[in-house]
Amino acid sequence: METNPALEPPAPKPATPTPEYTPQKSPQPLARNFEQRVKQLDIIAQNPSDNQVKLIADKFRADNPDTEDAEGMARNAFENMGVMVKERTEADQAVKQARREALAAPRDQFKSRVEALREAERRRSEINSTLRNFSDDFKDAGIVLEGSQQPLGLMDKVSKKAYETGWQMAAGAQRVGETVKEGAQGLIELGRRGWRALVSSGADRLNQAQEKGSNTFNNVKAKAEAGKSKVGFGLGRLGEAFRGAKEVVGRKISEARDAASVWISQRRGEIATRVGKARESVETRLSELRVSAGARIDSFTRPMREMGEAARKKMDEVGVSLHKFASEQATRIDNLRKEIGERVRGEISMAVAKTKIFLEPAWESVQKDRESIRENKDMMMEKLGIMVEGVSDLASPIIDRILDQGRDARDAALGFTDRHTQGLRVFGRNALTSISESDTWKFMQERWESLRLRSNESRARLNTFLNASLGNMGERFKPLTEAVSARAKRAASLLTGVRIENGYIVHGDGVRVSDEVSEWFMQQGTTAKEFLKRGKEGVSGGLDMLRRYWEIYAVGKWTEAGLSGVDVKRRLKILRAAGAASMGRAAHGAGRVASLGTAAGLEGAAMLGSLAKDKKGKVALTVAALALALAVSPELRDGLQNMLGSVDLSGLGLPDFGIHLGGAGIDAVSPQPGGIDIGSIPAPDISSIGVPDVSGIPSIVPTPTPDILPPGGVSLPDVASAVSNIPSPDTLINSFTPGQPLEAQAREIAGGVNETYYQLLQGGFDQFKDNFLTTAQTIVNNASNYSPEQVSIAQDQLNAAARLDQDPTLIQGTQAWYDTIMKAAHFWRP
Amino acid sequence: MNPQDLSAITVYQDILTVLKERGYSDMEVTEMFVKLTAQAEMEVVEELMGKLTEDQLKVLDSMPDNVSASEIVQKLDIQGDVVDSIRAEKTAKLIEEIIPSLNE
Repeated sequence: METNPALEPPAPKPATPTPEYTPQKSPQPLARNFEQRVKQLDIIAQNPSDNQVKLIADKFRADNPDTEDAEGMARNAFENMGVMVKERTEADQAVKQARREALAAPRDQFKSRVEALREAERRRSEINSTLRNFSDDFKDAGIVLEGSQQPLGLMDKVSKKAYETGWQMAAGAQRVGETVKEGAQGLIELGRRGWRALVSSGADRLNQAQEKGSNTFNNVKAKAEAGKSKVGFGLGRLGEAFRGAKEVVGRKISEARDAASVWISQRRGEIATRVGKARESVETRLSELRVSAGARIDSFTRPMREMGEAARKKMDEVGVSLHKFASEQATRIDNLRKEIGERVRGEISMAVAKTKIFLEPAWESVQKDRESIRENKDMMMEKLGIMVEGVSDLASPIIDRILDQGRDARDAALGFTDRHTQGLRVFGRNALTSISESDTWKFMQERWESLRLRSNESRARLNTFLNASLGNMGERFKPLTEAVSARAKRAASLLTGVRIENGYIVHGDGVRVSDEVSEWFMQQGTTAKEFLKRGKEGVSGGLDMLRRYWEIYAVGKWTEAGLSGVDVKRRLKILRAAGAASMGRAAHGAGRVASLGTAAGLEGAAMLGSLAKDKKGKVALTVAALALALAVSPELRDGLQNMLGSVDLSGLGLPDFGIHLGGAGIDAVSPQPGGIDIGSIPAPDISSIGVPDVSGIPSIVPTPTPDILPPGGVSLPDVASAVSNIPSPDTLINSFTPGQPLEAQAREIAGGVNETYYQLLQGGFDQFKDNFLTTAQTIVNNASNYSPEQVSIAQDQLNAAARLDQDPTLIQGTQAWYDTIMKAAHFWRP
Repeated sequence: MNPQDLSAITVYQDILTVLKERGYSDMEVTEMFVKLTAQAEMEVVEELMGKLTEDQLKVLDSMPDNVSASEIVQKLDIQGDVVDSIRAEKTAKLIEEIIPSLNE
């Protein structure tokens, strides 16, 4: 009997490592869907299995039995596959980039950017096609996505966790089991000891030991049981948790799906709304542009056309050539309108093309992704969001651009009158590229270029211009002036100058020249009327005003040049005669104008061109030509009228020559007061009389402040009552009532301040000279009976009378003469 | 009126147009128009004056101030074609001098 069995402690168990969880996934064939397959191949290419390498190597060998190192080639093939997938990604990105650039491209780069986009797309499709061939080969070779190559899904992850937890629990249970085994071992040991004690100490101790051992065993057993139940409970909870997790995950996925579909449909709506709005806005805007551009073009061309039409009517008499000229202007306008119309249409189609470019890829993408939305909702949600943002981001600047371009087109259509210089500038910038080759465009460019010069600059240039041309004229006058200065000195006893008085040209001797001026005007006016039978009546009025201006201007210049009164008179006569001689011929020849014009085959633009080229080209300018220039240039006529109107504003008034013409057209002469910038309007300077300064004839002469007689303090006679046929002053002198104020009587008898008036003043004084002298002398001699003031005036009167006799420079009609005679004819008694 | 005269119409119109395109206002163009034409006419007068004989001057002076222009033409025997040719010459010179200014 074995009393002391050796107790062997249980051998320590080595710690068992938790084994790796490998989900048992069945190999997955390569997807039919190209995109999916590319993804799968990309994963395989990163770490191909030996089997996969072998499959490809087999294929190589099948294709060519002599292939050496088919495995190496196969590995290369996988490597190349990886490179190609990468290149494909890059090509895709390049397309996106090119698209972005095309969308953001300014107009001048737009075409090239679109080409770049097409090129990028071509490259991508090239790579795609290669990749497709390769992936087909791989599929044919029987390559499958092995389980280990398949990415872990959510359930895989949960399973892995459960697997690991279960494994750990099982390990725990094993440890509990071992504890129980140890306990049993101890029990046996105790039993053995108890048996020995029983042998030595008695049955109690055995019993005790047995009981104790039994208890211990029970405890250990209970412990083991408890441990077992604990493991079971743990497993139960795990399962429960697992089921819960599964449910939650499922629900979450459902919720996500619902949210995604709602969100997607919302976004889809937004995209549609956004695009619809954009399209609507663009269309509305473009149709507005079409309408407004059309209207503005029309508003520009209509007046031009009307002007052309009016000009054409007038030109009918002048000849086919001028008619042709006007027609060409109209054609130019038509061409211009056509060009702009095409430009606007071009803008519209470009806008539409741009809209398409940014919308199409977006919708393509939506279509393409519809399939995968079901599978990858989370990703797709985000993707769609990005896309929507992208579309919105893209759309706004593009729409703005379209609108901007629309505005440009509209501005272009509006801005080519001289009142829209700014608009023309915009047009010049924007429309330059496409129509820069057309004649119309060059014509417009030139116009724009010249319009660019502002009016405030023109004033300075005007002076330069006139100095350049008239300054030279002044030089030509110099010898003349020198020649006449000697005569002028001799004639100085006759006249001191010529003036404008109440709108009449008055010689220094006070003789008004209005009658013959009127007659002369009448001739010119009649001739012009004859010449332009169907022309507007304003022509003769304009011509009349022009003549008047010439006379005033010439008289001013002659006086300024120091010409004597006689010389001025002579020249005035010749000036009228020259006009009459030409105009007579012009009137007689008017009927031949049309045929001559046709025969000459003249054309305005050609003439201007040849004139600019050939500076020596001889050009004749007749009075009749001027008349026609006035006829076809209403603004010229208006300007002239305003100019003379400004003379009227200065208080001079203008004679009404209309009466001589029987009202034919001369009514237009009546000046238009108000609203005229006098400062900027030149008027003849007829006030300056004295040493001439021919070298610098002022190009812009100030508004005249004529030397008006009679002097201040004496009320102005009523000019309107002047009569042209009055009896000789000699007979009228008898009408004076001695003792009454001489000046008032002279004015009344003469019917105003005129030649007779001055003659009456002089004649009256001479007639009653004794009365004046004795009356004054009496006052001086009896100074105590009069106020000192009266005595002083009487003394002045005597001095003035003496001066009239002695001073040869006191010419009748001059200011000095007038002042003196008014003093000399002060006090008198019958 | 001869073909040259007719061409002058066109040229004149075009000069005015060019001036306007160069930025001159209507008023300024008008000013140049009247000044230049007045200048031309004054030069015509000087030329005619230079051609007058002493006798013709006496006749001219003897005529009253209110004599009609046609009477002057008749008495001095002023020929319309002479006047026209002088004017054509003067105007051509004037325009010649304008052209460089226009082309500046």
